Amino acid sequence: MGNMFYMIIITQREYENTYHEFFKENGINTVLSDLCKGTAQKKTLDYLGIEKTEKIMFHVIADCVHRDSILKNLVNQMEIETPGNGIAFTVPLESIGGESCLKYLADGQEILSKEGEKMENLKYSLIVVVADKGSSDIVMEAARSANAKGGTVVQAKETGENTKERFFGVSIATEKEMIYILSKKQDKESIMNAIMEKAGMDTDAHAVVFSIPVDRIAGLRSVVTEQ
Amino acid sequence: MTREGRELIKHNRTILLEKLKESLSSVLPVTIIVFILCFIFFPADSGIMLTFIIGAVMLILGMGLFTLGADIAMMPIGENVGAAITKSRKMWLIILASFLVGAAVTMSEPSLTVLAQQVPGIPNMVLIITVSIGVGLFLVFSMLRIIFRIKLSYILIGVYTVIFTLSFFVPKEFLSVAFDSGGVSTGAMTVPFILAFGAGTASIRSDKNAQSESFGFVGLSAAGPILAVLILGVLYKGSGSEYELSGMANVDNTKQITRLFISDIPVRMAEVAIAVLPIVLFFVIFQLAVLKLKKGQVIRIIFGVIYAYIGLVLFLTGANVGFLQMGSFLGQEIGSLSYNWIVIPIGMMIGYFLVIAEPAVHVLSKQVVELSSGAIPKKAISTSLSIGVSISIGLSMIKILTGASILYFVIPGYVIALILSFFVPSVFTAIAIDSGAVASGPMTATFLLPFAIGVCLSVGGNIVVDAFGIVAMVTMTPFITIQVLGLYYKFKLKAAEKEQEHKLSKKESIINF
Repeated sequence: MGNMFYMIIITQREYENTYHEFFKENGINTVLSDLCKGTAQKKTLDYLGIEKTEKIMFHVIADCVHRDSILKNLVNQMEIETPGNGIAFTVPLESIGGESCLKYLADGQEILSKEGEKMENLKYSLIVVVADKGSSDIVMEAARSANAKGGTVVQAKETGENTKERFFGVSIATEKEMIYILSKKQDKESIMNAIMEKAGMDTDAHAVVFSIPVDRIAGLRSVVTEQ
Repeated sequence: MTREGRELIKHNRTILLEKLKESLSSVLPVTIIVFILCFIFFPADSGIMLTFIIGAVMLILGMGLFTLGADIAMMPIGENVGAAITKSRKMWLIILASFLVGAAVTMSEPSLTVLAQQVPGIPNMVLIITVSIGVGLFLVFSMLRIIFRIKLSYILIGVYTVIFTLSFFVPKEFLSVAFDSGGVSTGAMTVPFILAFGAGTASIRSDKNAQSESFGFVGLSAAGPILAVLILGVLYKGSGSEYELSGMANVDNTKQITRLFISDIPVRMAEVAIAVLPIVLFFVIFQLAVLKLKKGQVIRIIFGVIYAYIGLVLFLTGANVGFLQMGSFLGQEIGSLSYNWIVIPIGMMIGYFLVIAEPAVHVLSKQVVELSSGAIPKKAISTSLSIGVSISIGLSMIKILTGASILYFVIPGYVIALILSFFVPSVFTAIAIDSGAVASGPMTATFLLPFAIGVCLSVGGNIVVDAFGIVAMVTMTPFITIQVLGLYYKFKLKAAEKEQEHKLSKKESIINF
């Protein structure tokens, strides 16, 4: 059995159909997608509201061969390196829930394994921030002060049993924002520190933050240059 | 990869240009049809043609700005206010705030004033206040329906039974106007706000119905005015009235055209200012009391309100000066032909392409995409709307040519729609009822209605009875076609599920990598 990877691609929402074609051409049949928002690059454009921030997030399971070819084609064909076009990253899978599950998620892939590929030293990190709704501005400002390039915002609700409140037939949840920020491993700590300091639990944003090791990335040119 | 796809990847990414392109592709089709009709079949006065072209350009600019403003200001305001009300979990606040939102937004709706002048035998102020109270009450119903979890179809059946029963006790001059009032009072400014208000109340819920129940507010609110006008009709027993067609402005030279537009702009500026006022007021009150949004968001909202304001002023000026005359002209020309049945297919064609020029249509389809996480594409909604409105114009033209009562169309239509609602996923019923109110916006008022009046004049019908009612048709048919779309999705989903079903022979174990 070869190594399998969970790949997330975040890109402009209007590229959706083009990306579906792209996945088909690259042998990926099962794609899950989700809508999200990018964080604005420039403050003035953000205030004017004319920067395009609507993004789409694709979730794909790929083996290492497909992972490599997709990342390469993302750069060559989809020009993901152009600033604002998007980013992609992969995280190694540890296990999968059975043969039919694998068949569904990796439909159409032959699951070729590159024998002997070891888990290399992972060079990147995905920083995940969970904060109160409307505070992604504060979080990103903090992250940028520590050299973060950009982030992606997903609307979320806090739905744990303890936090759920009921009002007649309607259950009311607290609104949250999840912010994903990709960075180099050596920048990770300073970005996380900046967020904890300027947007942490004792501020208005009430942000909590953790990080995940990331295997490969594409589309974050300033980070990826040495590859 | 297709060439189109490759080109898209290389695109720039300023949203303003994108919005303008979108509005260009929305306004262009109907403009081209009018060009074909005027340049080949019906010789239009060059003055009318020129005002129409300038109007179309204003429409494109206006719609681009307005939809941008709606995205970054109107929708967030509505969502935040809706969410704050639900979050409070105070019944009195929910009832009071919903009522005020509905009533205030409707009262300031410019097209309601126009409607009031057209309703025979009822003082304008009485009508405006009654209709506003109607919308307010129905918005309260919409909120209570969600809190007490009553199915939308049941409410709709109840409401329309009352409406149709009342309609038999009302003089026939009243009927068409009454049914039109639903579509008329939910105008360009009201619709995005109430749509977002609904989305806001749903956004903080975590139950499984949250997504589907963010729709239905606009549609249910549109029933309020119908009921209100019918009740007034029973009470006042108004006598017959004459509809006065505003005389065509004759233009001899290009300078007069400029004057035509310039003189209209202040009127629209005042109109839109009044329409925006309650929304801004609600925002200020909520921002100070509960919302406390961060600085960046507030600045964005301020700019958004400015965009929406300028956009709507441009749009309404373009529509009122440029499109109104052209609609009326084409209606009269086609109606006076000896083979005037041809107005049915021509009307259907115009309707098909006109509905995407309604600004609120873009707001609705965008929200449908967002709330369904992209599962219901924009194209599916807009095509169903186009087909719906196309059918409605066909029916309206048949109604004008035959002089049949509006009840012959509206009763079967709603019966079909309500029966469908039991077979369609409830999201689609809610989206469908909203779509009706969304489809009948300023374009319907400034192009389709004058078109119908023009046809009616040529055929020699009674404007108040025959030409009116076109808005009601435009409100009704999307209720059916969007539900048909829902039916299609339901079957497609079932087929997909069947395909995926494969039986597991034995218990599987986890695969470790």
